[in-house]
Amino acid sequence: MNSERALFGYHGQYLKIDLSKNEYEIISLSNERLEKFIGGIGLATSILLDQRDDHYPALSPESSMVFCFSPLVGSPVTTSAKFAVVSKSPLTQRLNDAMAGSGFAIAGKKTGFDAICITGRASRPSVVLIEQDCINIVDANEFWGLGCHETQNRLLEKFGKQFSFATIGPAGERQVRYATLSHDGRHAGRGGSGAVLGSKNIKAIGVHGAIRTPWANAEKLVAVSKALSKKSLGKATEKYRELGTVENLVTLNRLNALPTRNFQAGKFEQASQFDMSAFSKSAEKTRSSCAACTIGCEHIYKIKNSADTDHSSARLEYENLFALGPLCGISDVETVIQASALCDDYGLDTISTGATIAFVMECVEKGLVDQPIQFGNGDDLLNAIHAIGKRTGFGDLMAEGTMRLSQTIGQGSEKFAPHVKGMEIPGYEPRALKTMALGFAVQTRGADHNRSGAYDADFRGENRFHLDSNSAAAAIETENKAAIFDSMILCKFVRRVFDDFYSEAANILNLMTGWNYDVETLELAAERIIAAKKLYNIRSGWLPEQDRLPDRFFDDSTGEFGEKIDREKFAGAITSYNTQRGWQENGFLSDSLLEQLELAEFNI
Amino acid sequence: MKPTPIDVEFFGVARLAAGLTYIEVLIDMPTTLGKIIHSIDSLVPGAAGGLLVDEKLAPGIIINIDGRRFETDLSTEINSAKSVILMSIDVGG
Ligand code: SF4
Repeated sequence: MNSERALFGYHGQYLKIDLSKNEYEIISLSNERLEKFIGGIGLATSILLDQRDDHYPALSPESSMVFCFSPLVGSPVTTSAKFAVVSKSPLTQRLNDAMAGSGFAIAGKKTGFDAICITGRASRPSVVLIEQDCINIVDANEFWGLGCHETQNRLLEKFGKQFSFATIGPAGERQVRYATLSHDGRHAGRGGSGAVLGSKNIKAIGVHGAIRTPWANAEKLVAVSKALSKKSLGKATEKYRELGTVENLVTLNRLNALPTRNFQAGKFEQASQFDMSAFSKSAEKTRSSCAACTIGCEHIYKIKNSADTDHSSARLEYENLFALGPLCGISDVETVIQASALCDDYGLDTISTGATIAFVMECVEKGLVDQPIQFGNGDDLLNAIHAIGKRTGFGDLMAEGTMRLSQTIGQGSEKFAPHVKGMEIPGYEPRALKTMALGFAVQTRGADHNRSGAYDADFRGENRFHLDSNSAAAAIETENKAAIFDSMILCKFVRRVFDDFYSEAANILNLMTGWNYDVETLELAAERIIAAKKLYNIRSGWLPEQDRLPDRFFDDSTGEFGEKIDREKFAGAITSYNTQRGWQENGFLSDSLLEQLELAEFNI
Repeated sequence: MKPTPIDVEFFGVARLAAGLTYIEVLIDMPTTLGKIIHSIDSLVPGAAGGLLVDEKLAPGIIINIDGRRFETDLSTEINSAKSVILMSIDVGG
């Protein structure tokens, strides 16, 4: 490939910090590696595979986590200021790839590294400060116990505004299995990255630097970026700008696809309370965006006259609205705002938090558990979040997530514990969106709507009611595209701004790197990245029976448009998915495929 | 034949564009999605304008028929329908 060529868009090296040994080393990344895995989730997965520590549990000191930037970070390409964080998930004990957009990505890349790999465990609560090749691990006692917001402010006060920080909240410190990483008020939310950092005794990572990477064709890159930015202000992204994703709730409700009361129904009787355009009239609303984004989909709502001034405003998106609202039978938007703000401050993933509480609510309803946590009760919801964030009382069990909680409760509760591989299901009712159901089951990180956009296929034609080889092809198409978005890294909300995604993406990458991507090589890169993630899971002990949904979705219907899923057809669709990917029927990867995808070096 | 009543519902950017949440139209069957949208204009003049660009459905909008199939082509023939839902094409997040 490109071993002798000059490097544009990359530094060609990553930093590895071993907290147990208090040592660091700088490791080269070959041009071949960078070209094959691009950056973001792709490159981070390859670095994680290099560590060969996949047999250790996620929260053990030996387990590594990789923060990874991309060739486009720092460029004018809209929405490109993002980083990926990849590790083993404490929820699933399989690969977790989370992402977020913030100044942390820009400052992190300027330290002179394409990625930062952290392993080991610090002997006491610490903050890691990285300033180019000056790495300091300093005491974090004064920050331990603080919420995400205050931690961020106090760190900036103490170490200076030249730093950008990724931090954990109290939930990460206590290793709640779905704790987040927070930065600039945004979160790398799913899969428990915050717990992994907490298990390493690290409260925050601060980055600062001034090392820039050159761009292969700066003039054309700027011109293409300008054109893309202009298009991103058009109709294709109007929904995100004007309404935000919160508007999904009433639409999905109309289509019987809104998970309600722990997936017992696809419609919420009080969904009209979540008409956020109407709600905006009585609340203060502001808009914001990730760094370097021209769309600005963030809609921040503030409750007027709230008694709890620390938790009276929150970024609302569809996922926190559904998970802390209808999924828990809650119809009061102000309660959902407060619950979201609490989750943000503890550093809790709102989807897993809402789903775990909703699961307990159903257990209480069925008489399997005796706890004051009832559907529709806002105070119960807020108390449960505090208990999880602090791991007090029953909250200590809830902090383990629905899979482990259902194993403790037993009595058949496993059948309706809403998770795949241990990760809680997001806001798409699988019985009403059957391609998405398949996407949830086969995803490497568990039930996930960010790495598989299979719902897109459900909102075309009549796909949402069928499961066949076409569903498998559609799920693969959306996953492959997502793998490239997540490796470049671009926000998927720009996806409809592209007329021909693969060729436009190849052009952008070529202008940055000077390499020769085309549609074919990018499609191959997508296949490679997805197979690499699967390989990590196989090395971690994945088995085919883990690609499944809870029994509820096969045994109960939610009424019209929510017919239960046919077990045989579902199994057939999974087999079809595997074979269409070129994998073995049961999902394992053959040696010849690994050779073909140039992954053989990782096959141990 | 008596005209058939159809519930037209608006969500997301379609609601923004039309300024409506719901309207009932009466229409002769068979019809097309385009005719249904134009019939909205006869009841609320100007409401259909924002839904169309060059006589095509505006980008960002999709139509669902009776909760089942999704269409974007306004020439799609409709032989029977109780409800037509105009919604944002992106329902992801
Ligand atoms: S569209 Fe929204 S999520 Fe995407 S980069 Fe912009 S602000 Fe961030």
